[in-house]
Amino acid sequence: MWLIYLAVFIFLAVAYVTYLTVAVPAAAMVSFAIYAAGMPIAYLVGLEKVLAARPPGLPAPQRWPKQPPGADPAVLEYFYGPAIADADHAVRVGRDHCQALWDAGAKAVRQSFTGKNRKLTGPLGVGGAVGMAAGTAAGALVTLVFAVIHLLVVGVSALVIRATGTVLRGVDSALLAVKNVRMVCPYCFERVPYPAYACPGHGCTRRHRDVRPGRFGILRRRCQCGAEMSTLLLLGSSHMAAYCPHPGCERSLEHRPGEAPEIVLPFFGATGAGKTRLLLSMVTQLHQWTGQGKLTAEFGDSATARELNIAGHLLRSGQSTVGTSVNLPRAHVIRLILKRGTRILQLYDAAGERFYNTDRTQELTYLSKARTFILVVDPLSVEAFWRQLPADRQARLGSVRSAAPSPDLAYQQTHQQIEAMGVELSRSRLAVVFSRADLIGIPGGDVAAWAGSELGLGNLVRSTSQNFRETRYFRTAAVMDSDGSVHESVAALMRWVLARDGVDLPGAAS
Amino acid sequence: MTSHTEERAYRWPRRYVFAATVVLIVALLVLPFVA
Repeated sequence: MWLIYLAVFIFLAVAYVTYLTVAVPAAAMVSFAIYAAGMPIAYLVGLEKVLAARPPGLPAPQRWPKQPPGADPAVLEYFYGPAIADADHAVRVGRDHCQALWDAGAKAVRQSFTGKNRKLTGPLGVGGAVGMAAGTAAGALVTLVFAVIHLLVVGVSALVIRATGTVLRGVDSALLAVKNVRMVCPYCFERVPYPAYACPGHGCTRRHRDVRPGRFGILRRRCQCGAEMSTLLLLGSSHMAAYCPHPGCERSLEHRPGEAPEIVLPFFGATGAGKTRLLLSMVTQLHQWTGQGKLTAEFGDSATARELNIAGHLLRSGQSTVGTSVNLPRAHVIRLILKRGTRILQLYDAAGERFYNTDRTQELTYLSKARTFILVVDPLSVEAFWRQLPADRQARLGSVRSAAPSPDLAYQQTHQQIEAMGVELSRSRLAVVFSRADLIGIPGGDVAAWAGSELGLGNLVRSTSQNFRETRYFRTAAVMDSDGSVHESVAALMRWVLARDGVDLPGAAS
Repeated sequence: MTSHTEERAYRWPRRYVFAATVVLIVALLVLPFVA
């Protein structure tokens, strides 16, 4: 009988050992396969959830790049931080999936040692635990390779994106330099490296200080309201509402800066010398050329339109201009569209009082942005000239005569300030304009010689011709002829003043 | 959580990164059999 028991025991023992021999490695292999493949799959599922599916239940990322204080109200470019945050997020989501996998495995192993059939399931648990450990190690290695590939894609893309941004920024700056576009704010007179822009989104009032390619976008940027904006003047950003980027100014720049070269043209001279009238006559002349189809001149902003709309009427009526306010001037902006391109004229007409006082002249920092200046002199204000006029002419002209001090003073004061502002006068031009030629007559001959001999302004003539690279003397009559056209002396002055900036005004050939 | 505007802005860059990563991983897995 005992032989039967022994045979059964041996049989069972052999069977159990055979079972162990097969089951333990099989459990280990299955477990290894599950964890070696499961971990990378869990990571890929996490990656898919974070980068593609974005399901509603997706846990929030633990790290997210924060905008530096004072930054533009725009959405960060993906490869300037969010991509790395997403990589971190994907690893965390993948790890959560792996955790679920490990928990399930650990539970199965534990149950294999505690169940009713633990003699049978226990070896499976041992094999599973060993396979789980080895599979986790192998899976972690594969997952690491996958994560490195993901980071490689992010890194290379970020490099390409950033390099593209730098190149585009450089190309845009180079094109502005080639086109000689240097922008100046007509209000604060500061150089505008690049205009700030208002968000074009409906109802959005956010402003973007620097829209150029960078951390907020390469070709386009997205405002926090969701509206898209161009990042380059090349790509049409000039069609958005522009603002001065300088803190404290931030005024609207309606003239679409950046599209065309800007010409800063300051008028200076004594009070009542005729600066405003000369400016009005130049504007009227431009409008007359526009009417004749020879060019197109349009007001660059609504403030200029408001102030200069009446130029023609005022000139035609012969009325005197109202004295210019001593407040800081703002530029009158005129867009000049010619066959050979567009120019933006910034005409600055400050009150004469500003040119007798150093502090007040210093505030006219637009002088440092100009390369051609217009000095306006009222010949009637020169005492020596006035005294030699017959009494009846003095009586007739007394009302229009400038009562300001000598024109020399305004010139010397302004000239010193221009130099102090760092302008190289040896590279600048000056138009010296003797106004009121309609009242005192326009004799032929050399104007400089006339100014020296008749007006006694020899010192002024010598000084101006020595200080500036090029000085030209004009006599102008800021009036309309009987046929309604602006006196030709104004056109002659404009042709010379704008010639250096490549502006070919009508009648230049004649 | 990222805002709705950011979600919209990052939709395509995220898809691009995911697609490029998957393509590279598949290429890496297939390469030993092809080479």
